[in-house]
Amino acid sequence: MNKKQSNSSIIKKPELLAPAGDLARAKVAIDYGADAVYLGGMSFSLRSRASNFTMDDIRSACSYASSHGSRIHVTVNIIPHNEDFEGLEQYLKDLEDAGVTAIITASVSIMALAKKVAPKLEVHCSTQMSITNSTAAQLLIDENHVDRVVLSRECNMEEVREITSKCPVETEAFIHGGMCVNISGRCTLSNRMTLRDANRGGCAQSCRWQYRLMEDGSELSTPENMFTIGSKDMMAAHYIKDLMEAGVASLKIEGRMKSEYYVASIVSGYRHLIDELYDNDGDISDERMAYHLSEINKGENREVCSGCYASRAGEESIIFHEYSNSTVNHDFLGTVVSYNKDTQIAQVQVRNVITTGDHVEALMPGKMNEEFDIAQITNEEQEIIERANHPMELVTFKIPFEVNPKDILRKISSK
Amino acid sequence: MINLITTLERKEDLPALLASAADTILVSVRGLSSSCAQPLSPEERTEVSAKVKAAGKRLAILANITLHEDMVAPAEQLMADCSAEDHVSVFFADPALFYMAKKYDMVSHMVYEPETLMTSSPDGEWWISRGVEGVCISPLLTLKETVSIASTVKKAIVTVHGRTLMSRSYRKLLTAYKDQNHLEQEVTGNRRLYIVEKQREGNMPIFEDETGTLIYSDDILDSFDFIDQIIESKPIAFLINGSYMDLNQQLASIEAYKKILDGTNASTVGKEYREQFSSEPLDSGYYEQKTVK
Repeated sequence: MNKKQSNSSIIKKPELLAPAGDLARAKVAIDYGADAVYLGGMSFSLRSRASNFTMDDIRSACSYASSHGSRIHVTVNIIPHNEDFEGLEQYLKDLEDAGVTAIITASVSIMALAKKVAPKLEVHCSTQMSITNSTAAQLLIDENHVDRVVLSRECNMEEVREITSKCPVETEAFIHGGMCVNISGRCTLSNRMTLRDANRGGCAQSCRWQYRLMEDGSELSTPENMFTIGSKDMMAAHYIKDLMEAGVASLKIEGRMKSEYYVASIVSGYRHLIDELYDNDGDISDERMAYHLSEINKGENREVCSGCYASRAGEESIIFHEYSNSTVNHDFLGTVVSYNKDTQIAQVQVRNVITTGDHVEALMPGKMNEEFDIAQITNEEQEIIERANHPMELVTFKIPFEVNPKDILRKISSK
Repeated sequence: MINLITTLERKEDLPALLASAADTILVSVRGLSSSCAQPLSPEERTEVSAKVKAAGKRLAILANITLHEDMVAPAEQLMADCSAEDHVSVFFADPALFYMAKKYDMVSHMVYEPETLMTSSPDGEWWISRGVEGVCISPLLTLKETVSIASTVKKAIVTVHGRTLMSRSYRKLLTAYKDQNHLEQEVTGNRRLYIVEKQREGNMPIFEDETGTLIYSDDILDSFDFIDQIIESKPIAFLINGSYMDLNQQLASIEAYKKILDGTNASTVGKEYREQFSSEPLDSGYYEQKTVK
């Protein structure tokens, strides 16, 4: 991906920090423009249900990142119990040796240990520490020499500005993805109701369940409107300019359990937005902003809000209905396997149903998206078919512009 | 010696608590405490502090919110005020309070109480090595883990009794629901509200104030069956949390643990207590339940 190097004197270009649940997604994130990727190892990391990386995977990710001008951060963000320290020292040394740039942690003793045994690793203070003021940041800088403070998701934009201006090290802010409704690390609903430890990667997301709200034995809720507290996801595209002007060093996308398509779409969307803002000293027309919002929204399939940036999140930030993760859209049609420039025929691996007449958009690392219509689909048996509906099957059709392996095709509309 | 710390849930409970065996009274203060307890104004805090001192006990101030920038100045004022009072401790969660403590020579009066975050000996030792008065071990741990940390980390405080906090949100979740559903009931500051998960039993108190929303456990932790081992691990104090507990039960809880510390058989004390409060949802918490990752 081309990370443009223009020189805005007005705003600082932040790092775009993307999630990856496995090596394939790490490469996708980098290809689509992430300046850095964060990932979790097999231990010591939240999101235990994400695929997570072996040390060999981490080395491969570092190598790939290095060759593309990107960096790898590793989450060591469990709230540790005594047993979790076993093997930690060697793990930190191995991360340093692998070429990892930074660890992200919420434990004061892990911060101290990392500085002692793996001094080349940057230590980033995790959002689990809930840093909402510059004084707290200063203590961790003084005592543990942290290199970056990840701001609490409860900060509003004014607080982001103030903390960033006072903080002697870099700050990082969250811009997109799932949000805890509770203060990070201060929720044990999952522990209590399922014995799955929310602070060690086992969160059952009990905040998204339904509850009866009672007052002295009388129910205030109704079966149709149960009490719910699940948070909508964050989508802070409107605040990127403010965050850049505030001098925030890194903008983080959440979602280590998200798909390759999601990572590509969201990273690509924010990459283009950040680059355009930077190239124009923060100026952007309403029309262009609407375009970027539209692009980012194509990759999102959940209800979104802007978190606390505008004000303390309220009614507009809560999902007031039974939560479902099943609202997956089927826009991700497939990935390009090969392309013949002479014939303009592409071989594509199917991910969702592709139908003749679909109006399709190609996401291509480092390029603007291009659109086309599918005129005719041929399967592996060289039969012309109306619909390709077998996931992972290989089909061919004409694409009237050059695409490359791993480019992503998504549906804009059907015939 | 193990001290007994208990919470002041209502200001009018103070005389009874001062007459009890509690060594330290933990109070909430307006704007800086995240708790369902009645928050004291600065004037009330001063008044309570004087009474606690006169009774020969210690006052602990619960200043456990995550401090947003606009709360840093009030927090610093609190630290300045407390620095002149030798019998006062501050229970804190935000590292900013500790930073201020250094400025006001209050480090040895600070108790780290982050609820969910203190789950290991190395993290506890990190704070102790900075000179704090104590660290509160998370009540989310098994007996083995609790004992392991308390015996390693000098100056550990163990929550032995009461409802435990399950979640803390900066958002006003009850107000959001009220607005969405046009409820008439007042939800802010309402201590009569609780939630019940759709497919489970158990009444979980829920409380909202200006600091956000708290959800407490549906049951009341009691440690009678495990207290001997906890005592052997030599913590400096037991915390008895009076949240959503009436005064009589809170006093009975203090009395029960005091008896045990004075040598009465824990099983006998526990049996008597459970008989007296048989209608209450008493439970052993996580002592025998290991959470999974």
